[in-house]
Amino acid sequence: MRGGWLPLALIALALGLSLAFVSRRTALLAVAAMAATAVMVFVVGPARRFEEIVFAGLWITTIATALSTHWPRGVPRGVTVAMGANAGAWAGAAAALAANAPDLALSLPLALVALPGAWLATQGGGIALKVVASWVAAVAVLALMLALTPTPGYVQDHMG
Amino acid sequence: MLAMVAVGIWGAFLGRPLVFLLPMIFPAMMAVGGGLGTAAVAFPPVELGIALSVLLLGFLIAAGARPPVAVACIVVAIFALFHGYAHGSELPSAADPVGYSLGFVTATGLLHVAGIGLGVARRLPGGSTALRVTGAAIAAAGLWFFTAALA
Repeated sequence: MRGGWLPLALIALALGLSLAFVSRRTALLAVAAMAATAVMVFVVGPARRFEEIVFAGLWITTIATALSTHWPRGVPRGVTVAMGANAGAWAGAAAALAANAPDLALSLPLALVALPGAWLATQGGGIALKVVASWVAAVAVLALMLALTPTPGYVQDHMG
Repeated sequence: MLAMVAVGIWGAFLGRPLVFLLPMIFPAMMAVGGGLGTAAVAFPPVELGIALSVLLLGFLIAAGARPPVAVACIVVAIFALFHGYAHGSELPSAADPVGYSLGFVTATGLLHVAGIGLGVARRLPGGSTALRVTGAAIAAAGLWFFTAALA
């Protein structure tokens, strides 16, 4: 099993955690960019032969987005919106490969964790968001490395 | 499990920034170790490394050790590699790898948070002594693991 909702949820969560450190207007713009590119890429749909590239791109984007929580004084607006569009593109591509629109529709709203996250950050709890973001990055690092192993769980082996 | 709780307690004992840095570094390096484990990369004896991590982390709490930030991070990062390697090498190939990864990273993080919760006791009267006694108990358990791993 390679697709499913978890990779999509993790990339949306990483974006949401990063958006907690920018203004509400910028965060909503980035979420809109993510939703728009996700739908566009899902409709176009990448070819099956690009599956490895799509999942590698999704995990690398998840790592970079999660680590952007450490950007001093928040990510600049232009970069934030581009980050949202980039996250949406990989999420849309991964969902298209699995032909799974419901997972995409259910996972992307996780980016709205930015709204309670922003409140928490203003209350001095920003470091907790950064800790959680580092855990998301750790999961993505492992998922990325698993693709390099001979029999990752999504490839049939003797038990398949 | 004891090592992960110990990382939290030690982080709380050391205060900022390590109280936040250690719970970030441990899961991140565990993920790297997990990748090495699933790829079956040659590694020093994992059971010994894990036992040594419990022993040393317990000792550091018991001794009230306050090393420089970089040293504390390196110590925790090295031990995290051993824990991650063990998880990675046990990853069942037919399982959902992302779910498995999410489970062990989240569980590790929450054990750190539990340790930090225990570490808050240092602010109470006699709390620091109680934490050091807890560290000594963890070190004793680590010593037992270590001798069992050597046998």
